[in-house]
Amino acid sequence: MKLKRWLQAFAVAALTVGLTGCWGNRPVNDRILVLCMGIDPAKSPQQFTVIFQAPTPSAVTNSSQGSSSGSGQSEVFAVKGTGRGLEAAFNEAQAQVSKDLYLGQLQLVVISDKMKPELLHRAIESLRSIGPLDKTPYIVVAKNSAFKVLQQSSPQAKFPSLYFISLFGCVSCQTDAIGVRFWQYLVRLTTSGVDPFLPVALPFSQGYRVDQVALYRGYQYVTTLDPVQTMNFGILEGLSHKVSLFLPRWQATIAFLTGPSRLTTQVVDGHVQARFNVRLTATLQGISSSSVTPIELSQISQRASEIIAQRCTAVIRQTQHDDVDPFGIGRMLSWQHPNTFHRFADWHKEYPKIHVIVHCVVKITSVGTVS
Amino acid sequence: MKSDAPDRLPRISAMQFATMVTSGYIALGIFYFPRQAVSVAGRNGIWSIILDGLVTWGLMHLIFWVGRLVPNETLTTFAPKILTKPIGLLLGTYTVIYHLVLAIAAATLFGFVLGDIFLPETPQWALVASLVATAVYMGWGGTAGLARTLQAGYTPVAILTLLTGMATSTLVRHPVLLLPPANFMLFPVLRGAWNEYIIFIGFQLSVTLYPFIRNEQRKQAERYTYIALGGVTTILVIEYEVAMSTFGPSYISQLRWPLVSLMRILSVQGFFIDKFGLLVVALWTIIVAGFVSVRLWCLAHDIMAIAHQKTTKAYHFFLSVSGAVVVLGTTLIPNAEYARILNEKYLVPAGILYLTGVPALVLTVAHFRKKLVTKLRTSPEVKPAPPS
Amino acid sequence: MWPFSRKTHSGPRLADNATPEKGPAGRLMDNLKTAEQTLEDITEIDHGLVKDLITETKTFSKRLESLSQDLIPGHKSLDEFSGDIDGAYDRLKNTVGQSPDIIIRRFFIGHGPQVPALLAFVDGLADNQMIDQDTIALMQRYQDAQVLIQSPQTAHQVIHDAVTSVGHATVETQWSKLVIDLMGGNTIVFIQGCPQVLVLDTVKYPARAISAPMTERAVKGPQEAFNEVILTQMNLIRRRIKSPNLHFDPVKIGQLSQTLVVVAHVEGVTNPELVIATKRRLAAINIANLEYSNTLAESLSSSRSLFPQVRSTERADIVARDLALGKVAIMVDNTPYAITVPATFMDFYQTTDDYTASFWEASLERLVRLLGLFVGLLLPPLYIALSSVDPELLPTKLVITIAGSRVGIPFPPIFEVIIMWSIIEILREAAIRLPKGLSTTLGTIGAIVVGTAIVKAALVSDIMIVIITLTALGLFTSPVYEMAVPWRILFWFVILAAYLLGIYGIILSLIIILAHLASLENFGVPYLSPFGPLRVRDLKDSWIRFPEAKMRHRPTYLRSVSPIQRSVQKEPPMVYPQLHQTQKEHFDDET
Repeated sequence: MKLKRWLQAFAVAALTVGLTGCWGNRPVNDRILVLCMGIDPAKSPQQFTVIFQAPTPSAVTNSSQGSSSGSGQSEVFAVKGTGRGLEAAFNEAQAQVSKDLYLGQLQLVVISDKMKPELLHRAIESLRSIGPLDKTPYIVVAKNSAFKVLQQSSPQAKFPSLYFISLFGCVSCQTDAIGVRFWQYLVRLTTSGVDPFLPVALPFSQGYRVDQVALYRGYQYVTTLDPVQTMNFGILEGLSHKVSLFLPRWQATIAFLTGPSRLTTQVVDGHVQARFNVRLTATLQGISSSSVTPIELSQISQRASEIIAQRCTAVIRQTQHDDVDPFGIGRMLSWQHPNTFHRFADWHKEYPKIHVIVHCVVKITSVGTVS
Repeated sequence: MKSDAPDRLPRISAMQFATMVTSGYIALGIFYFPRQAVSVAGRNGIWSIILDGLVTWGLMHLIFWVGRLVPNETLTTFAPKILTKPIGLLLGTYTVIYHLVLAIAAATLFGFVLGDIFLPETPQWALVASLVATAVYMGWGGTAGLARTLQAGYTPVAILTLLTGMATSTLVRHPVLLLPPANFMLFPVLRGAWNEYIIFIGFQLSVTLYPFIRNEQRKQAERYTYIALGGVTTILVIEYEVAMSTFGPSYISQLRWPLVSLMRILSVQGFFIDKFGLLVVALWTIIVAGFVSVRLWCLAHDIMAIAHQKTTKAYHFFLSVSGAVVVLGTTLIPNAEYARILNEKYLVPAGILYLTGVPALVLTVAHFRKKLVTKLRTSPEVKPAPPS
Repeated sequence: MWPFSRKTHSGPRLADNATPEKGPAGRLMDNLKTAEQTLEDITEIDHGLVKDLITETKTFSKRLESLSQDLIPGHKSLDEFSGDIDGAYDRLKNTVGQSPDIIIRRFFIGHGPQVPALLAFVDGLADNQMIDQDTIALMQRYQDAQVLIQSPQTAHQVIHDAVTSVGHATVETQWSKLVIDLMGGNTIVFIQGCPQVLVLDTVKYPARAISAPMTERAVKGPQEAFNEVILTQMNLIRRRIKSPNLHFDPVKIGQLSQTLVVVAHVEGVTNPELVIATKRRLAAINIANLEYSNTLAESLSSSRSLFPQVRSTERADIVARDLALGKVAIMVDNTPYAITVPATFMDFYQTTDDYTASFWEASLERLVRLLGLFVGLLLPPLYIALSSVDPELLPTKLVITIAGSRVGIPFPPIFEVIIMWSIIEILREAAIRLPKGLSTTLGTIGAIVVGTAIVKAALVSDIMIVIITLTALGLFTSPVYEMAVPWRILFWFVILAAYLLGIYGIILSLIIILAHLASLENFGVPYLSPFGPLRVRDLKDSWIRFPEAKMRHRPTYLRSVSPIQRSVQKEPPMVYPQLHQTQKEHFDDET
């Protein structure tokens, strides 16, 4: 009986404590939902600027009532903070707003290609250690200024984050499914023998163009592949979906090239050989199938395979030249031949020397509906 | 309830025994899993986990053997009679302290996980206290109540976790990692197994739980426990494979709580809660609460055995006191790094010492004092009170 | 007031000492009268109390007088009827006879030689026609009254065998039982010189017709509910279970009400221990007045849990089904709700419709009930947790929608829930109490006020309206009304947990609820069976209902004496494949 009394007293005390404390109980409308975050270099070489972008209250209200604002006003607002680390920048930004700057709903991180490696490193490490932020936001690269990308609005979506979520969330909405989530980026950063790649978002008057990838060596920005190279990069990574190829000889287009790519490594006499096995399926378009004989069809697919293999090899040569391994050849080597890989002190010194073969088979599975 | 009658042992079924013993491990290691194995053994970590499962199987045999010696009494009750009083008391104290530390470690660890990902602004003590309070309440209804709660709550969560883990396999990017590595290295595998053993630590509660099984179901109970162990090992291997082929060995070694991270990247588009995996992590609360609860149950029973108390009131008292001590104990661990060190440096060796030392000692002495053991075993059992 | 009340207490004491003599009673009366006179003289206070006391004392002394007449030498006790009609008349007249509904009538048995007799019944509870025609008329016309005069000791037997035509007649000698029989609607007949009193069953209750169940409606099942008369209840069950193994064991509970309680079980099916335990618990009940069956429910439950531990139903078919499964049913006179024990959690989610529909439909309905439970219990807490504590779990678009709907609302979500829930509860309570016509109006007004005005006033967000509506409906998907009550209370517990600790709090509170359910036990039956303890065989009739043919066993938790309720059906072997058969017939047609 006495015990019960004590328990009751304890319960009352616990409730009092519980109800007086606030403990992170804050309704969403009292938080600033940061949906995008941009990271730009600052004027001072040791600092960087972080842009926190959130929807404006009026945009939020409109979205709940299902009406589009249409007033031409910006639907988002951004607060900036500058500092030597993410935390300092965050504090500076928080000082400019009246509500809690909440990062739990972060959907997009934009980083400038001009970020210095050590600053980027610091920023990414800080971002990584934020507990409530899960590692699923997409991460894209901006040419020069992340702020510009964030400022650009698209008629297709209210906020940049929603645009990129729907873009990257749907594989058939892209030429190559090159969306990279934050955790995938982190995996590449921490695994030896592979270098990260990130999609590049280019703002233009109607929105964004995403058809290039930026290659990084660790945190060091190296180069950006042009759209054609990106397509072949996508084929090599097995990410291509709407890639097409024009064959002048037959005046035909091979479209919807899609299929897996398998990378294997071999060690022959101490030399490393990598081999990409690409198996693509495609649709033949722009040519009436009644005028094509089966022999011609096989010639077309053979020719297409050759061209793709050639182009892919060229992309790999380029990366070898730039000494950046976005394909993870080293990683595959470390999985398949760990002892060989461990012999190399620095994979980046080794990567340009390896022999890479691309074997490509294009299978035309559909010949269009016009006969 | 009937437990007011002294010496009444509410008998639990074979399946309930298996559930309780199974909920007595996993919870402490699940959050670290499989980092400890992978960071030492790399992709060979899978052998460490399978080895751990096999070793546990062996140790379980030993521990059940101890339980079978005097199947109507808990180890803490019969140890003083076989091993002389001081040693028995020492053993009892060791058991009590070990359970206490395990409960503290699990509660603290889960508090850190929650504080890190869910409730960053809630004080740690509140998270732990609410967890322990729940655990105490789970144990309040006695052995049968606890067993039933676990049966009704634990199994669905385990299945859900497995299904979610399977769903995560859609994220697998490198099927090549599913295969065991080419270079097998014995020493790292052993070390990995040692470090990773934290996930199996805790099933020794069977020495206290054994007399609560219904007499006719003892054999079956042991069998179910082995089956459950097989199931757990299989689930762990699956989760290991999924985590490995999604993250790769390097990234796993850097993650503090790899499985939590794995669950967090799983999202269901177009559902009310799109971070579905995170919800599953929240559901793991029952795994941890179950772990703490069976520990508190053991603590209460072992202390009662040492103090020669047999009433329900005493049980409730010791249960509450143990809970309070666990909450106080968690405040001694300031951060997650300390918790990790506690687990890896102290709990694994102490646990393995218990799991090997106790059977070795008890079984050896019992071998030489066969007469006494037979007498204890055949001593008339207290008849249960007639049902009201 | 004090002194007087003390004096009344002295009454019984007086009776103990000086029952036979009139003296002390008379003296007391005199004293009282003197006291009244004195009081009137010296004070102006209202002495009505003294007058009441005097009246009571008069009555009491009359009672003592009639009792003293019975106390003839050699007679065993005051409680036994002495055989003296006059004494019986006085005794009846002075005790129960003062009430206007008690009819006491003197008459003579026999056409020629006459034997004085006395008859008493309660006007309204007894059937007048039976008393007039089947009792008094026949007795008065009795030709052979000489026999009665010769051997008065067996007079009752003669009347019983040869005169009265009432179907059910028993014999009683004790006053204490006679009076109770009388109050129950029986007619008691005293015969001069015969110590045995005839108790004629002339009971005819004013009873409600058997109507359709109001609280547990079924779409396709039988539409018979119990009424208040226990005999009808028994009849309804007897009609469904015709086996002689169906037993009804009567128990009387309540010193004042003397309510008839019937414990029913099927011998050879129900575990005898269960029957004994039920009777033992009923026997332990010692109360003055048993009015409702729910009063027994508390004594039949083993703990004061929020959750109902006995199933109370007005449906005859459910009671019959439960009896056939091996449960015990308890019926209480004057209450149309029978109780069946033991009940598990799952029992409160099973109803007639589950067994009158196909197993597909039944399973779907049960799952909808489970969904209703989850929605009702968890939707508002989830809203609080997700919108205030863990918004990172929500999809971005939804979180923006919620944030948008909450812009301008001055209260945090928890107060929104409190406001809305209070409104709903008040509306609900008012709708039950109001007359039917008004409650519809109230519902409409409520809907308008709740639905639009409160949102326009920006007190509550519009998402909240959706949530609360679903909640209010969800909790009532249980076919048993009382099951909604614990959830309505626990709802606040979960809300509080969600407010403090978000999703984690909700899960903790659910674990606590689960632990509570798991620790509940009644009649040794775990409340959470078949989920904890897990009983795979019983899962066939839980959230999914298997086809009837698969449910061969009675529930394990009932520990029935004969566990199997259905034998395996063997399908007849097919002689030839169906198709071939058809073709053959067709062919035969043509030729």
